[in-house]
Amino acid sequence: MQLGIVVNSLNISQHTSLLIQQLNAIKNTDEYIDIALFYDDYDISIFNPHFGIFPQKHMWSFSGPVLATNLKTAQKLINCPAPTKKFFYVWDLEWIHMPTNFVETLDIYCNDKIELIARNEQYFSILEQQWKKPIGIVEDFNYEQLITII
Amino acid sequence: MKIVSTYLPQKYDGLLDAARLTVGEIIMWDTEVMPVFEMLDIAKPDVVFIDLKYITSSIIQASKEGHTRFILFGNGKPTEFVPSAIIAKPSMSPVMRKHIESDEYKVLYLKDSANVASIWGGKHNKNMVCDFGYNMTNNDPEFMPHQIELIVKLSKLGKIRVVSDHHLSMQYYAGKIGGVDLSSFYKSVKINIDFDGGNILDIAANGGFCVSKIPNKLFPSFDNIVEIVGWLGQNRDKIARQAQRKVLAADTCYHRLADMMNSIGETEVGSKALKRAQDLICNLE
Repeated sequence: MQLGIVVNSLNISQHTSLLIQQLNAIKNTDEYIDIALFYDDYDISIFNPHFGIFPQKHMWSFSGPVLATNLKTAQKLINCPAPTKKFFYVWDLEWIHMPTNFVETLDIYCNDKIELIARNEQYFSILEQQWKKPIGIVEDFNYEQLITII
Repeated sequence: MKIVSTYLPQKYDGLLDAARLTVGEIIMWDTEVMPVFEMLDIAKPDVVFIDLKYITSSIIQASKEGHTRFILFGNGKPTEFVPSAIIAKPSMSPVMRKHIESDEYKVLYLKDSANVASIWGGKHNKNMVCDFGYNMTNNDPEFMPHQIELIVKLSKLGKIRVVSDHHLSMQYYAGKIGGVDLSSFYKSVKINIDFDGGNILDIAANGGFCVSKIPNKLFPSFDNIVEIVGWLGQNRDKIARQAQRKVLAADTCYHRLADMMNSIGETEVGSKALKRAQDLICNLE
């Protein structure tokens, strides 16, 4: 099985640290899962990743399910030809606290090519109300919930 | 005809677009970059649209000397400046009106009109469809709590999206919107909500349906939430179509442009503007 995750940056943040910890946990559980983390800005993580990290351009030819983690990466993922399944893990309700264009945001969240995954129940109901019903909830990149849903 | 315009308040965007589409190019003039006499020498405009805040002594002098006519946008008149017309707000009190009215020039109390969206005409977008939509343009702190209270109540009864021309930090806010996208939004939403009458003309011009807190001649008004939700189960198309026809027949920015140009004797431009307004109705058929 393959799993791709795409992030903007590998810089030290709660987002990246939790993600790497949980992806390491997947790898520890099943070493045959082929995980690839795609980044735009490289940085050294405080956790040592037990999987491959690649520049985002390699996402274009990655033939497995891929998970975007914010609006910017979701927009790129929608246009990638190779990934077999496309998911948008909504870690943050970006449109509420960042100036965003309604139509561009709508085209991502309501896009038929991508499935939404909510970070918690509150996000689930907001996403369902505002854009599209998510396919499930994965709390803070929880690896067991993530594997089940994908 | 050559028109030069300074930056005008946002509510006149539609008027400038209408002028652009009726007479061709409009030259935008930054008064800080080019002095008035240089601008008059280079552009040789027939008419200058000028906001009150840009009036200087050299512009007053230029208005007396040349053949260029000045249309002043603002609720006052600087001493010694003699424009061809003044465009003021219709809500101006009779006392204030007496101060600016004169035999030397016309004063037009230009009514609100449907803005740019009625010109560009958006299309129905299936992703934009939701039960309630609100374009929040009034951010008056005293006004906001009433809007938010109603939005929260409506969210429990259907899907609601709030949009605006600027960023808002609130849960049901869906993003910034303008122009043709706003036109599509009005058209795609089942019930547009209006609190202060500010969006009614735009919604109608775009073929959308609306309920307003302000009693009006185009759409039903509401006092409580039940009167809004009740419209979900009813046929709204007939009301929307009638409202659209009424607005396109009398209240577009082309009509306001015609009023303005007729007032300074430019009846040919006025007729052209009205012809374009008629074309909007013909395009519906």
